[in-house]
Amino acid sequence: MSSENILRKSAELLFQEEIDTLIKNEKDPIPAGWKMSPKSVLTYIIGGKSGKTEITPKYIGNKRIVEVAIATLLTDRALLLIGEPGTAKSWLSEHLSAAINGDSTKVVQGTAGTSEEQIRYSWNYAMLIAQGPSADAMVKSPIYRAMESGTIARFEEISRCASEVQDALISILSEKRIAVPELNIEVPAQRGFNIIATANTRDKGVNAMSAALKRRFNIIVLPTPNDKSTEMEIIKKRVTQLSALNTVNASIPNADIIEKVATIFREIRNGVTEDGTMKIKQTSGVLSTAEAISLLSNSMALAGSFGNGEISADDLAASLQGAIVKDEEKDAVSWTEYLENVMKKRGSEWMPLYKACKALND
Amino acid sequence: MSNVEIFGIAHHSPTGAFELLRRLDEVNPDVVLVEGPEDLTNMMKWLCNKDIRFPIALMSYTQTQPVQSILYPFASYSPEVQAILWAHKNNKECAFMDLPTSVFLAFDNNRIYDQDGQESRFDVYKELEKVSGEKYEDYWDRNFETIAGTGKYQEAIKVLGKELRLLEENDTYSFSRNLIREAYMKRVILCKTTEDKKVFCVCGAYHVSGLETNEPMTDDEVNKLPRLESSSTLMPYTYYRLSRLSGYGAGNKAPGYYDMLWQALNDNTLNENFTERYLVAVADEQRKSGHIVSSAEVIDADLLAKTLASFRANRIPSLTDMHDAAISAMGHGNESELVESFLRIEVKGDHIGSVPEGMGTTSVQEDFNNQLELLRLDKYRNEVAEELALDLREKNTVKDEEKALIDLRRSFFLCRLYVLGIHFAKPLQTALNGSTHMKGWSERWSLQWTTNVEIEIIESSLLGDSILSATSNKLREMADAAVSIDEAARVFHLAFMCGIPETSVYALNALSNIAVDGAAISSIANTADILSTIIKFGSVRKYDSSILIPLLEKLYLRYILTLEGACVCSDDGVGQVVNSMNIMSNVQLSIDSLAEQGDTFVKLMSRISTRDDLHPKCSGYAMALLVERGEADETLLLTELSRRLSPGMPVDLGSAWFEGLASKNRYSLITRLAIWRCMSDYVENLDEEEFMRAVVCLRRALCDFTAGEKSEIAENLGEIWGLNKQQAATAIVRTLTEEEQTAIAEQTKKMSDELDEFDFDDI
Repeated sequence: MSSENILRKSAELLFQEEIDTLIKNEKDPIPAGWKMSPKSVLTYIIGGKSGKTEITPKYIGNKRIVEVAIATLLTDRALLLIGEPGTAKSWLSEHLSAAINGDSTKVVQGTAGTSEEQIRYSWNYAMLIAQGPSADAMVKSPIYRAMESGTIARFEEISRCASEVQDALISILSEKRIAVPELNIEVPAQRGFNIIATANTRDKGVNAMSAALKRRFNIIVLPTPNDKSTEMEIIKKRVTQLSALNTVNASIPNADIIEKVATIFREIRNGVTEDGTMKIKQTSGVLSTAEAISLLSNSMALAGSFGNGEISADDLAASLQGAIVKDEEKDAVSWTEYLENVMKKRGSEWMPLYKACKALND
Repeated sequence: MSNVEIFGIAHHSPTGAFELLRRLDEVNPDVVLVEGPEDLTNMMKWLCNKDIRFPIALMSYTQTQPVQSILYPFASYSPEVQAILWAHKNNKECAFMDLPTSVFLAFDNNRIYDQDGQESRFDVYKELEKVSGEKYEDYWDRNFETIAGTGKYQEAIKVLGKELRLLEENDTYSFSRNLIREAYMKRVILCKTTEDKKVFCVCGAYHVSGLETNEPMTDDEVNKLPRLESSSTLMPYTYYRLSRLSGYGAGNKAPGYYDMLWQALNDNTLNENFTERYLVAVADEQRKSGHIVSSAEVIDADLLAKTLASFRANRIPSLTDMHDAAISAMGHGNESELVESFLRIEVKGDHIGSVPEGMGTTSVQEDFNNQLELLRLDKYRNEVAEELALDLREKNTVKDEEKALIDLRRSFFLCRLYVLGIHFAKPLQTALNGSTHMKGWSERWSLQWTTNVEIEIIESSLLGDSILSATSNKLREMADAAVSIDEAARVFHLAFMCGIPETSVYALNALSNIAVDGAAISSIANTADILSTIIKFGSVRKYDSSILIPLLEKLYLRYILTLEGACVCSDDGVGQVVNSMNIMSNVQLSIDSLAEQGDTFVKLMSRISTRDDLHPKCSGYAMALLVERGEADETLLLTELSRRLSPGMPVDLGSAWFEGLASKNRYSLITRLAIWRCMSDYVENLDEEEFMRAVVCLRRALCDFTAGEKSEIAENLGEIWGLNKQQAATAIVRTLTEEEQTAIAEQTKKMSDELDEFDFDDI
């Protein structure tokens, strides 16, 4: 399996050059367990220069948030990133660990089925039974491995796993050691160990976390993009990156198309038109920036595979339909209302899109 | 100028004050000159008084109307204040050196003067924000406020001042004004400088290079300066006013925070535990409002704040660092959880400075303060509005007469403030806001002190020396200016509310003197209304209203004689006439001496109700009054009704009469089925065109009925027509279709066009 055929490269592979340049040009002191100084991590995330090399921005938004995140990781508090779906929580978590440790793969995924073993350790049961407890028979969790090596572990969607399971983290975060009674050892964490967790505010959200666990995290809220131009920038950047990776035979959508998508998404998301004059019914879905990005990639795929490489109104309409109408009955009504009351009245520029959407929605 | 040192500061900067004091100790000058209006030098001694509590402000104002004023606020950490206190402590000569207030007042009006030009400042801030990547307050906090003791302040601020100056050279108005001021200040400096005296000048950093290089003002130029007569006084001030939140340009966003910084500088604990102190204060406020904040979270916040500070190589976390750390560790990532606590610490809404008695204030201010104390209202003297409920009746449980009537005296006091336009008290539920038929003994007010209130108090000193005399004079002025009887009556009412018997007599005389003869019917009615209310409820305010009765009787007689004539009026005026009828009817019934004259009143109403040549609404209303008093039996009512609604009569007149009838006591109308039978017959017999007209007119008459009343009428009609009551009601009360609406609109337009086409010359 060559690395060329990997569907989604990890951040440290993708941006290896940038990381190496930053490490090479490092002048500030590096904390224990880290590969570069906090300042370089900041440059890596928000963009800038290292020596003569341009470092591309990974997170486009409030710079201060990234500063607070990095500062948290320097203290012994764990970091919890919360926000609406699609606000780059996992993205930021991945890139922070890529820059700090060069490894973003120590991930625990929070699901309803996540058990304590995935947080601490489990066993190769065959070996366990055959030879009794031994270090070989132990299957270490990503958190265990992070403690051993003094690096960062990531816990995605922490609020999705059962509270009892989450609480296994409490003693790990306070005492910074894991006890393995079966082997009569205790593994202390090396310096540089920390956990970055993410949680969604839209589902049960952070409320399901026990107060004791919440207290052990410094919490940062990631906002949706403040203004349209920031959102457009994010969309454009990501779409360009994704299309390069996925070898789609279509040209990058121009600013006009991106603006239309951004406008539609923002208006429905906020429930009001841009000029604030008309209220709009919101849909059941979130319409996050991430969805806008994948919508455009989708349109590009349609254009490249079935069209002439340029995104047409039909391609866009098809993707919009899929992204916006999630709950058939209610969303279809809201979408129709939006088309008739808002898009239709916007003038000749929007006419082709309006017609295409209307045709699909009927 | 070798004996002169010029020390630049930023206004209201604690580090500036701190570094200034150190420098003063080092240099030990003989004379200290401070940037401020020259003529306020004699107020400096008040600032040094031990009983004064900052923040306070010096206010200068013109003596004539319209009063213009300028305000110079001072906090305890303002460098100017500290310089003055230093000079006082060390027995050194101290003076203000800027242009006198008379010149400033002549320059511009009513701006809180922030001494470095407000307009251009905004551009400067934006530029700094772009370059430094953070808000101005943060930039200032990090680079200037937290570097105390490093010895770098003076130089840093000199550079800042110089660069600011370069930026502003394009803005001619502001720049030239500063040049004038600097020339004057230079002149003062040179006057004070001699061979053996060291002079130390404290001024805004912006002015340092100007004072160093510019020429002093010549005698000639001094004489050419414009001036306005002015007086000055001290007044209390608040942190809220000082903060940028209230729009004050040179202010700090967080004066409370600066206060803490100042204390830490003086205790020498800035580097030791300042961050901890602030974060604990936040945790404290959070806990007071019911949030749970553990000490562990405070520790985390502390650590995070210091880490953030280290990113920018700051020794001490700035306010923003502390905020962000608190939000993350104590506020679960949500600023909204902490913002209230932040504001309570940094802006301290309920904290007001105070100026002790007798200190450089006007006599009205002193009287105001005295009254507040006597009436035990001083706890309301803060920027948080609070409600006060008063019961004006004498408290039987208290022996002391003064205390028994304290609420009454409070009401008098607050009414006087209202008359003077001092917005300390807002009447929520009193006879002042027009509800003359309320219980006279219960009042509700909302009390709130703001700096505007203080300014308004000072303005009243133009009218008199105390609140009472100022009010009295104001009311006399108003009485003299009254041209109609109800204006005079209103002044009288105010005098009554304020408890000033002599002035109310004055107003009453003015009222009697204005010719009752020419008065409009509505004025008579309004005046009678006011007088009758006072007669009824005046005893609560200890007023002997017997002198009012002859006047009221005179008005009543006049009314009776002129009402019929007034009923010949246009559609515009009929509303007032009808209203007056209502008022006078109530007056007649409620005042003893008039109650015996009921017969005359009834006869008048009968006449009006039957005459055809008066405005039909008046006639209808007169009938309604009779019905209400029980003076009209059903036959009379029906006869009149059918007469008015007979085929010969124009529809407009008929429905206007009905409108008048329906304005009062609807219930008695609704229950009389016969009326509706009559109406129903009438409408059925109209032809097409007349029907449309009737619709428009009757709609107007019936539109004021409530939904409940309408459906009852509909049920009545259903009964008359022999239909099922409920069904009829639903069918009648449904909303109109579009067609029907358009038809009505057209008809309305047609009828109003007709009016326009009416040829008046034809008469």
